[in-house]
Amino acid sequence: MSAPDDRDRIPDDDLERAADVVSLYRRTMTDDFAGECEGFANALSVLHWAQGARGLADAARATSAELVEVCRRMMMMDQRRYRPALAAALRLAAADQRNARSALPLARESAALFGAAAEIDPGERVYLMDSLVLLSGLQADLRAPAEAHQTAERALAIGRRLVTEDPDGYRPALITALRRLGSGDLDPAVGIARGTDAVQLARQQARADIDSGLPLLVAALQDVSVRLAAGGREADAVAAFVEASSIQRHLPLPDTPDPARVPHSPRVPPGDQGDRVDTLIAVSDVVCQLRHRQDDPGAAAALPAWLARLGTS
Amino acid sequence: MGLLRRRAGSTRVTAEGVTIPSGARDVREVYPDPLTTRQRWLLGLGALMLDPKLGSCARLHPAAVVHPERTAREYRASLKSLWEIDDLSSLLRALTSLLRVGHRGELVGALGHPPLAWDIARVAVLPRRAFAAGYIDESTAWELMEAAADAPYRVYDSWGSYVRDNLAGRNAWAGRRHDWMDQHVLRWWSPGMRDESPWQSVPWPAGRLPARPETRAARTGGER
Repeated sequence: MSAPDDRDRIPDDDLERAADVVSLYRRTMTDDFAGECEGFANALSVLHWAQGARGLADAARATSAELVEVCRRMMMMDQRRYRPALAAALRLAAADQRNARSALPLARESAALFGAAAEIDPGERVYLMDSLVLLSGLQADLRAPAEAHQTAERALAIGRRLVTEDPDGYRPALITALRRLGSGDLDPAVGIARGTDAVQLARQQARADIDSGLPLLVAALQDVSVRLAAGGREADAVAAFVEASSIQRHLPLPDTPDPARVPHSPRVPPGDQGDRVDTLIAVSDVVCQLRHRQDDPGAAAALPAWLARLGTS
Repeated sequence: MGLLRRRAGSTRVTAEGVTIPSGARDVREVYPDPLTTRQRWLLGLGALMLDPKLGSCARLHPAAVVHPERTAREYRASLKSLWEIDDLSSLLRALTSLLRVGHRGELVGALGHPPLAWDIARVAVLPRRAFAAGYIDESTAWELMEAAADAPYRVYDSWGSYVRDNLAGRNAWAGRRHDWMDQHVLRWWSPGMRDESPWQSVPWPAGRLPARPETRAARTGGER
């Protein structure tokens, strides 16, 4: 199952379009790398996003590896300008790896580059925090709890400072960091504490901006419920999950279909078992609806005919 | 039980044809309290996941026949092997994953839309199985199942459209149509299941859901 992702799914044909653009760039890159490299890197990023949205993990991993190579060449041209681009590409590549051991050096390099970039441009600190969160998770996966804890504390210190400077701007990023670190920490008590912090911040965010805050609050409550249960606080865990569900009731579930796009007619070729099942579902459904509406004279009159049809289907 | 007739040995057969082995009991004997309309609606959401020959929507417990020792052990084994669920924490993790992502996004290419019913059906049935396994109590199971309650009636207009999409999603996920799954559908819609099957006996809500049962938070004064 792919990781939860709040990006909108892109239309099916965008993947093909993104691949076409990358192909076009590949043909021109050999002649003019310096002139086309930014466009090529952007095209690779879009292709990577499209592949990720379609669940094409192997293809996405190959694209992020190529993006890293392109960004390395760009950084050789202008270190200061392209350091953040390489750092971001490395983070993508690290997240795409199949195992923590191969991802660790990529995440470590990403964090180091974002650290250097943040010294020049404070706007890069939020991206440094994201890379540190990823690195901490990998260190936890590789059973290095002391390193993971240290990296996480560094990430959270950056996040808390950013929220002090601009609460509404950076609170969502810190909530996400706390959720991820809370879910990944090996120590249940630390995980619960971070998860609880994420819930409190998400409540503040919901008060400041209900549209962005409620989905964050649902996610934070669900995450902390898992950690609370693992920590033996079962009643609190269930209460958090139930609260998330009651808030979710006012929001669409991710990937909820448009009712108009859900087919209401049989989708299988006539004559096979599926056709019989679909027909039975359709007829039984109508019969039961009519049975429940027997106080409606029209419905009651139609019931015998539908029952007869059900008997012969 | 007047409904039961004796067979050779200590095995019994109910009037509905359910065989009850020695030492086991009909789920309705073990849990005598009848369900509310709202609770039966929730069970209907996950009914396709149960084999109607062995499973039941008469009570929260998903088995038609309950053996005091064996049944919980069997549910523990299947939850562990199929879902890696062995306690409340892993159950909540699985439910959260189904609500956030599930399989519906991956199946858009195959069906043209995300089959929400396939994910919701599993959210509705996993707490029942966890209850049968002894991981959660009855009121917790009902509270967790409420997570499945709202989305389907906003998307589907009848049990028929919900069940059809549930089946379509399940078949697309499996990569083929299974006869035995079709047989589940046929049996839950069969005239003999008219009273037990929620698809037949509980109306699909028009406009609003059947009223929620009293929740633990309400009973304890909403302490959170």
